[in-house]
Amino acid sequence: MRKRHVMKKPEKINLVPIMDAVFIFIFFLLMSAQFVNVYEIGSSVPMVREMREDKMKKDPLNLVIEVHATEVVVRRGIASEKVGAFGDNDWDKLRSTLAGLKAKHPDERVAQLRPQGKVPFHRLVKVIDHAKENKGAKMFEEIVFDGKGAM
Amino acid sequence: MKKRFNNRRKPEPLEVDITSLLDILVIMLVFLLMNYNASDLQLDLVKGVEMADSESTHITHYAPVIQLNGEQTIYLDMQEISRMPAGEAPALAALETALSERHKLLPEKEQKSEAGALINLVFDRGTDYQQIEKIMASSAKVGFTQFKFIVRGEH
Repeated sequence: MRKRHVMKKPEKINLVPIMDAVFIFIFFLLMSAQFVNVYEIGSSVPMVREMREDKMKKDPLNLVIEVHATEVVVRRGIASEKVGAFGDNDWDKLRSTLAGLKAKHPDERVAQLRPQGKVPFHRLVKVIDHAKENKGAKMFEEIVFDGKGAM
Repeated sequence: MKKRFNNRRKPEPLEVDITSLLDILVIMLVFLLMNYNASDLQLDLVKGVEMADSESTHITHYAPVIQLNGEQTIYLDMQEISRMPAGEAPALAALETALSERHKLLPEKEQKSEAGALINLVFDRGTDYQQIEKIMASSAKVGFTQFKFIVRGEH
């Protein structure tokens, strides 16, 4: 006897639950979407701390970044010796200088920012960006405004 | 009489082709995932604030927000507090009063924190450091000493 072949219908995947999940996911993402990428830069005011003399380092970095209207001056040490001055076209040099200082003092995390006179906010942000990171490597993460700027 | 239509095949249920819908949903999903921000701070900018660009990638956190726009008007949590050109001392005094009221509303743990309370600062990109310092000093006076500058990401 000749066998009768019944064509099997291909099984279909039930997409309803996955569609439900995707819809919920889309609503959640729509509600939490921010189309302007907003980030933060941390900073603080100096705190007065008691420190025992024997804990003082022999050669502290004491990094001070003076931000002027047209240049940035980097100073270091207790005597605030000048490391270099950087104009508006020397941002890469500023970053590499700070990276060099960080390499010599890997434990140092603090940079004191000393804006001098009328310095716009975007310039301060640019200096902070250059002090905080170098090619993804963290440098001076704690930025402290020391308030000794000439007002 | 034999029924004539006995052998008639049942019509198959109509099927909707959802392939194109799925394509759109997937594209939307990827787009929204790319724009997803895990921050708990919902920031609405006041008029006249152009944010500074930064390389920072630190996500923002919920805290009171002070905004200072190009006309030097001070806002705390979107409410206008004072205008600096009208007189700096009274403007800053009004800010301090508003901030101390806000400080009282913080959780007790944050109020008594040794590091100080968190405050988000949004400045117009052209704001002078002189103004910034005064606002930071007023905030620090009432216990907000952890400053977070809010900037626009370059990435």
